[in-house]
Amino acid sequence: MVYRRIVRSIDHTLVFATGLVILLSLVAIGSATLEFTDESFSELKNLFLPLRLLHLDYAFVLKQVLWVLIGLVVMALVLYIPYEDLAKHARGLYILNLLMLVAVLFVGREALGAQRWIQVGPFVFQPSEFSKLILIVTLAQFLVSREGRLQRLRDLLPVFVHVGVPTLLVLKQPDLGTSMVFVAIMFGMLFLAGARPSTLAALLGAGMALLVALFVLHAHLHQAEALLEKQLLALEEEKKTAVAAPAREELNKKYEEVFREYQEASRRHDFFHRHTLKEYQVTRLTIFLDPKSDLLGAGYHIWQSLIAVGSGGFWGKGLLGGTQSHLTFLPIRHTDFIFSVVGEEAGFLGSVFLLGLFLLILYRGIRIAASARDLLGALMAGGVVSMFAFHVFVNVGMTIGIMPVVGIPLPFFSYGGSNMIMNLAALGLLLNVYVRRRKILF
Amino acid sequence: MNAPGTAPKLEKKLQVMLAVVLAAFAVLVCRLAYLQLVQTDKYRMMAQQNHLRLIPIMAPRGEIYDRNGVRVVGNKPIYTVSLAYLGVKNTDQVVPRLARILAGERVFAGMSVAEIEQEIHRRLGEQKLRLYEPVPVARGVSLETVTRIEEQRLELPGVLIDVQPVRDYPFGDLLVHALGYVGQMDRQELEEHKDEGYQMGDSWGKDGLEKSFERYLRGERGARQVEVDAQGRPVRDLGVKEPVPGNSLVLTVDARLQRAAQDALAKNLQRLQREGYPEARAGAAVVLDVRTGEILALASHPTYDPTIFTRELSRREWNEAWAKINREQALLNRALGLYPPGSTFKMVVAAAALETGKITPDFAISDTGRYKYKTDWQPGGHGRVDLVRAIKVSCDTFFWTVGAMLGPEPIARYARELGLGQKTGVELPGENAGRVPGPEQKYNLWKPYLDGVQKEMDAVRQEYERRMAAAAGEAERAMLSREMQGRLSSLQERYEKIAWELEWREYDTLDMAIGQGNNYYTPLQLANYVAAIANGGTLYKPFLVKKVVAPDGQVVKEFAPQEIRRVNISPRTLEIIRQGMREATLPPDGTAAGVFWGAPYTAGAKTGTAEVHGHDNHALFVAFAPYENPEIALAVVVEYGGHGSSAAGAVARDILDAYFKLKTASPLAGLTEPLDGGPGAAPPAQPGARREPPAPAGQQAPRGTNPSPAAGAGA
Repeated sequence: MVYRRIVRSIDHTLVFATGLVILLSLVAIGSATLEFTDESFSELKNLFLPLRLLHLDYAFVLKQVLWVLIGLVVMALVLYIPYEDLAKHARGLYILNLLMLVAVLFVGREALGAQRWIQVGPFVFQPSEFSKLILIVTLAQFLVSREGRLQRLRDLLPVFVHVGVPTLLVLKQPDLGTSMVFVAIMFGMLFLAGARPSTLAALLGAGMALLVALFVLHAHLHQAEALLEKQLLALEEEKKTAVAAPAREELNKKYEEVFREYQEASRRHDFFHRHTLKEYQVTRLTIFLDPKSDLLGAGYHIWQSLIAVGSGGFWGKGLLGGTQSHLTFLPIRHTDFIFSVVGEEAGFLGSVFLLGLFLLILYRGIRIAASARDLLGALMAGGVVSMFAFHVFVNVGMTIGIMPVVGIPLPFFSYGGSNMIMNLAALGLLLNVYVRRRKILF
Repeated sequence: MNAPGTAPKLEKKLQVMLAVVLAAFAVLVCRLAYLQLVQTDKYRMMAQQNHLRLIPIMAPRGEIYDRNGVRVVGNKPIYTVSLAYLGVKNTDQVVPRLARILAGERVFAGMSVAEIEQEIHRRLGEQKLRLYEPVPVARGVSLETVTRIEEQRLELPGVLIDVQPVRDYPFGDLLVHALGYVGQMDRQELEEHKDEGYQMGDSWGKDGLEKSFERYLRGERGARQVEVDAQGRPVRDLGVKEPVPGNSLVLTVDARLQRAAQDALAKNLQRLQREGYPEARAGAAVVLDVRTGEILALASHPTYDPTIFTRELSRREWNEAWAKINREQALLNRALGLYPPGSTFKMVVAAAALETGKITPDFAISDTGRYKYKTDWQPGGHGRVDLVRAIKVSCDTFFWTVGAMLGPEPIARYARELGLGQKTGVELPGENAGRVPGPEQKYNLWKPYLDGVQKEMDAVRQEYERRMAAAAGEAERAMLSREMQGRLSSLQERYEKIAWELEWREYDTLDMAIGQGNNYYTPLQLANYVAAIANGGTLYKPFLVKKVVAPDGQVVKEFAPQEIRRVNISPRTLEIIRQGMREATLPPDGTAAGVFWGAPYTAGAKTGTAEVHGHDNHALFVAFAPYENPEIALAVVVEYGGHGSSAAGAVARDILDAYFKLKTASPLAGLTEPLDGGPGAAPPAQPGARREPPAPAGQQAPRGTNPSPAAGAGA
């Protein structure tokens, strides 16, 4: 049987590490979704640890287990088909990918201010998740077909188009986080495929500079408008109290003048938002630099997450001991901010242990890329590694206040079906490359 | 398929990739270490601030007992219905139910169920940010409503009934003026007393003993610590710090005598209004123990219902109650108000005359009813009058004669010696010093007016100088000059009139000698001055509070009688004065003889009738009793009561009768008995401090013989 051979030759370390992460995630989800509503709950944290496990909220855990099971099937499927065969259908996959993303824009379901989900039968799934994996496959094929012809900037343009189209579609949802993942995947794979590192670095630098310039420009426009608005209000007050006719006339003239300036500033500000990021997006991307500036609003999530993680200390508060999570101060605990729960309840020790497992997964991923029997396999593995690494870094970074809150999940850990299935499929792809690695011995 | 040479290159790139990943993870771990190892404490504290809340519990104020241990101010629970955060779904079910139950409540009087519902929702909305604190929905609800809510407990999740202590007045308006009242601290009071641990919403004594003994009465606030979730919903109780009740006061006042004094004032004022003194609406009475300075009763009329500050009144009810209080000036404690003493002042002049040696006890005049340009109140005079008789018949002519011999200074000196015109130091806020007349006092009184006129004249001069300087011609200047002279001369006339008033004149001395003119004293001062005469010359500081007692029964502070001074008046002089006052109570022609007709005790007294320009005279009366061995002294003032004896004297008689009758009665005689606790709940009165033997069972005076409408209100 093909399968037995495959199973025997898979990367056991990788599978073990991933399995452990998933197991821990089930505990974390069970804890994160448990809300204390009366006195009886507070007694739970004093129970013996295995008993505490029985008191978790299993509603989401069971669903997640279902996603994992489905994910394992998908993984097996991905693993079974040799990756070269997958690559052969790259064109079809790419078109499917675009169709899916376009479909979201038209028949997608809206939630949390974005349109990211499609309903198929009883299931609601998030195409942008799968889109990431499809992109890895199609881009790998695309890059292999251009091997050795990626030296010049001009050579890179087709690649940008290849990645850019789905990225823009995702951005349109809007899902900034996922589109950033696309870019990360692209850079990682381009680097492995042989693009000049200096060119890539320059591009990355230019992109960053552009972004910073954009924010600075926005801050300028925003402040100019706010300042003029304040002036305007002050003048209005003055107008109310002014009695003498000449003074009133003077004030009126000044008011008109400031009003015109204000209109102009307002128009420029609006223009900026119409053509680039919306105001709330700018706020969301920059608030992590100073969450205190709006503790009850935009900064709330980061702030509560910082408190959760920081108050965990070295040992953590213990399973079910987290006040930030069980008393619901932490928002979206079982999905994007699940790492805060780990930080609070498992402390520094648990957090670092979890990060260690992720590092192990990434390390194995890189080794698999190195052992791939061809560039295609190496690129696919490298793409998956880039994706995972970006997800982990940005997600954890966001919960500890060093990354903007862009809302991308922690792989194998955050609650969510599409993401779990896609992650397992991506794992399947890694294993796929691994089982068909170079046979040095033969 | 694998191009040779790619592999090593790829290997190198993958190593770079690994390095990047490692670097990224190092950043994460460093940041985690910073948050979780370096700044743990900071974030721990913030996490605690997030989920721990303190909810204050108000301390019951100390209670107030009379000298016999009868509670005159207590606390009673007031029920407040509050709504804890329920979540949207429950709120939509509970609020309409609750609104239906509350529909009959006073606070929601005149509102439909729908309106009440709206009101509840509005209050819930106001408390969005502090959900852990239950939202008070209705304060001071009735016991029936409380019962109904308890019966429907299961259908009313989140509805809480809070019990809060508020002031309870078992005897209604008894002693209201001395007690004062309690209210919520206003911003300024809070600002001034923030350091003493007060917080917004705390109670604060606004007047009377509640104010002056605030720091003893207030107690210590307790708190409940609760754990809350992000929405502020309470999750569990972490413990309670019990509040410490305030210390209680034991007063010198005898509640029964106080009741008698208030009723006597009320009764006689009503009578006077019927008898042609329509303005007789207010008055005061003070009873002192002459042996200690203890205030046994301190009454002021009109009184007010103190429960208007504790009950939940509708706006209309409050406005009405407040308008009535303002119209009657009922908050005013008239026992500390200023009144001309009239003839009750004559004992001061007598003392001054004898002590300065201007007259001897044998000195007598032949009264024809006239002294210079003054005529006595008795047409035709009193015939031969010596000092004792002068006091007895209140002979004005005698005191004019003696007053003229004395001059103002000795009279003023002895008035002050006897405590008049000085604050007594009683523990009540807002005591007046009063006013003793004299040349200096008169000068100071008029000088500002004179200065005012002087200034006006200067202004006129300046104005015309300016105008004359600007004048066009000689003719105009002359005209202005004439105009100025005209205005100045009329001012000059006024100036001279006032300048004349500046000087102390003989008639000032004469007015002063009979307690008119610029004499102004408080009923408390008058009672105290009579007490000093009665007890042989000791001026005590009158006081209201005997003891401050902690909740555990321990005496925190005890107030002993305090002498202000031994007055510098010989016992012989005082005896002669007492004799005069004794004579005044005797027929046939003692001015107070009618008052004491048939009294089973002896007394000394003096009537007073103070002229009030354009109104009926103020009636005054001072007395002490028994004559031989004085125990109490009292002063009564009836505003616009007409005659000292008929108006104020009648009140005094009622009070004196009550005093002697009560000596053998129960501590609750004449009082409407409170429903709760009663004297049994009182701290044990010190046996020695109790002057009356405990009444034997069954000998209790019939209750409600003289019920005051307000007395039942608090019970």
